Amino acid sequence: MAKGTNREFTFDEEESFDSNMEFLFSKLEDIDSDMVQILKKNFDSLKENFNQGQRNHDARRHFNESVKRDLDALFESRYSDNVSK
Amino acid sequence: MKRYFLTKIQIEGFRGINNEGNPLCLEFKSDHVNSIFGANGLGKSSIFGAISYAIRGNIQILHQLPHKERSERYYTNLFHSKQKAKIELEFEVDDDAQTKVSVLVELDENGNRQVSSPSNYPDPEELLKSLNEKFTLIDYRTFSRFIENSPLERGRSFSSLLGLSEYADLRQSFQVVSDIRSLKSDFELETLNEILNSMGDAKANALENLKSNYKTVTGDELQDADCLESNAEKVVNSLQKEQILNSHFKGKTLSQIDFQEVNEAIRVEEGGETSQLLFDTNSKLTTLKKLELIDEEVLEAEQQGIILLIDKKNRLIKDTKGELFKQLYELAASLIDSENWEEEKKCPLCFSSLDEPLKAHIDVELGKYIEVNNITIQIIAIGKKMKLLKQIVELEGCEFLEIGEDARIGSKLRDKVNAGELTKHDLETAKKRLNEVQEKLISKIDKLEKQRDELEKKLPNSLVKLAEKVEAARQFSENLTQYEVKGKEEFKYSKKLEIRKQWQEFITHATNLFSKAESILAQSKIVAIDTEYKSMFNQIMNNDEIVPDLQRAETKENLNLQLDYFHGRQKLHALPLLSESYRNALAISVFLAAAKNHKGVSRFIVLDDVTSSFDAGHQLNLMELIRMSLQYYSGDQGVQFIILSHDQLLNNYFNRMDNETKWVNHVLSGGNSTSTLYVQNQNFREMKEKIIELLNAGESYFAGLLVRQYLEFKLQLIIRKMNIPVPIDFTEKSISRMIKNCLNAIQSAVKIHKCLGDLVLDDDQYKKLNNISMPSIVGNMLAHYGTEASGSSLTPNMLQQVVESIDEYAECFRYDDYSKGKKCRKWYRSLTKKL
Repeated sequence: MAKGTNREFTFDEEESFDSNMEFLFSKLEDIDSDMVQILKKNFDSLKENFNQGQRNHDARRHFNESVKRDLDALFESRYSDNVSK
Repeated sequence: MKRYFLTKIQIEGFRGINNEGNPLCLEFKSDHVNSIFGANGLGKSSIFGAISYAIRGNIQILHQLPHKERSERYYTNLFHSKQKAKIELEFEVDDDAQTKVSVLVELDENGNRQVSSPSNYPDPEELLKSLNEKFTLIDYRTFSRFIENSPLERGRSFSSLLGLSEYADLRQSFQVVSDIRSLKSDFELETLNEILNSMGDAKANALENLKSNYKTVTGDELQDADCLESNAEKVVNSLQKEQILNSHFKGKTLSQIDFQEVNEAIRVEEGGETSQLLFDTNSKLTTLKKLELIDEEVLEAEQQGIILLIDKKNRLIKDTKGELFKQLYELAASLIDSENWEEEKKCPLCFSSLDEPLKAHIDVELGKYIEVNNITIQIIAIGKKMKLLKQIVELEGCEFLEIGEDARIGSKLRDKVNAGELTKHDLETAKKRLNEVQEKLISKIDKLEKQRDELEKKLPNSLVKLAEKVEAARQFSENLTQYEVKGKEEFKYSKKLEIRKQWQEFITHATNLFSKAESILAQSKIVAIDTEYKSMFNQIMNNDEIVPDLQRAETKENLNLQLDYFHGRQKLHALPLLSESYRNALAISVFLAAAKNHKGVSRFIVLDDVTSSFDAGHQLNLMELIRMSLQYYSGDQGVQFIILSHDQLLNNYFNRMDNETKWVNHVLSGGNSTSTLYVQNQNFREMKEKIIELLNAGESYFAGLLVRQYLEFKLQLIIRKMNIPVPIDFTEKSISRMIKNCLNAIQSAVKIHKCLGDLVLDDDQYKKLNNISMPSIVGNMLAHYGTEASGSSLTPNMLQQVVESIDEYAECFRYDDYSKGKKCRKWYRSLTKKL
């Protein structure tokens, strides 16, 4: 399995790409669990859009737009009470 | 994970392979090296193309053509009557030779592709995708690209080669979305910051006013700005002590006070219009005094920065060539990005050749426009914050200064700022205007103060003071609301900004984490193949004076080609020193070492003319390396090789191997893309049947072409079987003379051994060879083809006679063997040995 507890995080070459991504997510979970959920939600777009001949510019904006919507939703869920008062 | 060998391919109607109704069929053995020899133009590249199309969905060389030349219709054979291509691949599971998976890829003239599995494999398209490894299909361009790419591109393609393409792609994606500038613009971080700053300013302004209002009403300093509600209570308490106001303030909060009603009460108490006039004058004075006066020094300091930017922008604009050129460059950039223009060093307008890639030139030119744009953005940002303009707009908009709409210039100047069109002249105009309105403001305040003093003299002092306090209380109420509203908005925007910055920090961290881990993974893979590729390079080039070294940057994806050792010198750049053959040897060593170590779905490699830059010695070194060290024979090690070549010297090697070791050689032969392509050592019977079929159908022309192929195949077979030496320029002579060359080589060898007395052929065979078969072939066939004439003048009978004669001719080199108890027809071992 990928190593990353107390020392440098590395991928395990014996594991599949998907498994290593799971390890990456669990490492990132320790750093920011809210943000890693948003990354997971948009991960397919991050993986695919940039590799299908789409210009990086468009793919990036598409990805960031989607993340921004998720961040705004997170803001609403955290602070809707404070803001509406 | 299941791994697959490629054991069979059948092709019809694809590229140069017509084979209508009679697909070209090549069978490969998983535990043999498989080679395919075909002279130029015979369809060898079409076989590579067919495998490529089936697995990758395209042929790279076609895919890279300019769009208008890349029509899908060139994939199907132009002379196939149905304009449909069929490619059927058969795979064998590496640990279960009995399990075969066949995948059929069909393509019509409109480019519609259909994938199915005659063996009912559940997801054939997915299987084909999974076989698409970097080293599954390799041609000489693969190597030149690898060598000539930039270190970054090479690094990325190398990652794919190491089986890390998903990691390399994702690393690029991570880097794009964590770019600081993109994050700032896409997540509007600066805009949110600006909004927050303006909220802060508005709150601070409201607080200052609250303090001033509080002091006017209560006579005390406002101590605790965090307890504004209790301070509001103190304001109410202070005023309710006044007898005439008591009923209006008692038991109410500040927001419940009706100040119009209170003012009316004071006016009634005073008994006249003077009080109302004083109240109005005080209101006007309060409003006007709130307007800030800006002194000259502040204005100068404020303008210095923006003037420098405007000057810089003007200089840059001169350096660009105007809007039309900008559009032209943008169009050209889009053209390059769209892949419709592949000639990177050619101008798409006039087709002239360029020294530098067109994209580099466009980037420089567009860069100038981008810089102008960036400076314009800075000017807009600074312009929006300029006190000069804010103040003009505010002063001109103040109703008490009575400046008519038509005379106002502030809003027009603000529009120019927003459009990025502010000039130095505009700034001068603004400065003058500010002086004018400021003077007007001062004079108006002066006038109102005199008016107030006059009015106060007419009224009882107590009521004047009371009116001032009531006005201050009203303003306190207003400012309190303003302070609270702005406070809430500030909270909202600060939290929004906080969450977006949280993402910025997170995605940057994730990118760094990913990139580092990817680098370490790639580095460990390089280490794993390090010894291997260096040893392969040495085996191919047979030169231990040159030792290559791949260096991957620690923090970047760059892969640099270096030389660890070069004739006694160490650590040098590889590209300036290595010749083309050495470069290719390095590339192929890297590819083969990576392929050997990678345990992907594809357990076969197709090599198309990869030895073009090698001389004979290096070609053979490579082939021996493949045969001895890389080919799968059994167990876990090795991959299956399928090697395509047009090189006759290599073909001689292939033929020798074919006779002696685990090697299968296929020799292609046939006409052009209008007819049928055959594999020499497999289809004599089928060819003969086809010839007879064509002759019966009256198709003498096509039958003639096939007879010629048939003749060629059989003669070459005799040469191979009898180990007959051929002259060094054998294949360099005209292809139309191949039959004659073959016949000459055979006849000369037979004659020599007859003279030496060691010819293995018996007398009957010798006589038949010289007196019956040979004259028939020469008479009927060579007379027509030796001069490259068409075969259409041959009658069906003559053609049939040629086929019979060549069969009889070949039989002269065979004998009946009864050693196993029954008759078996066998080839002599050579011209001098039977067994």
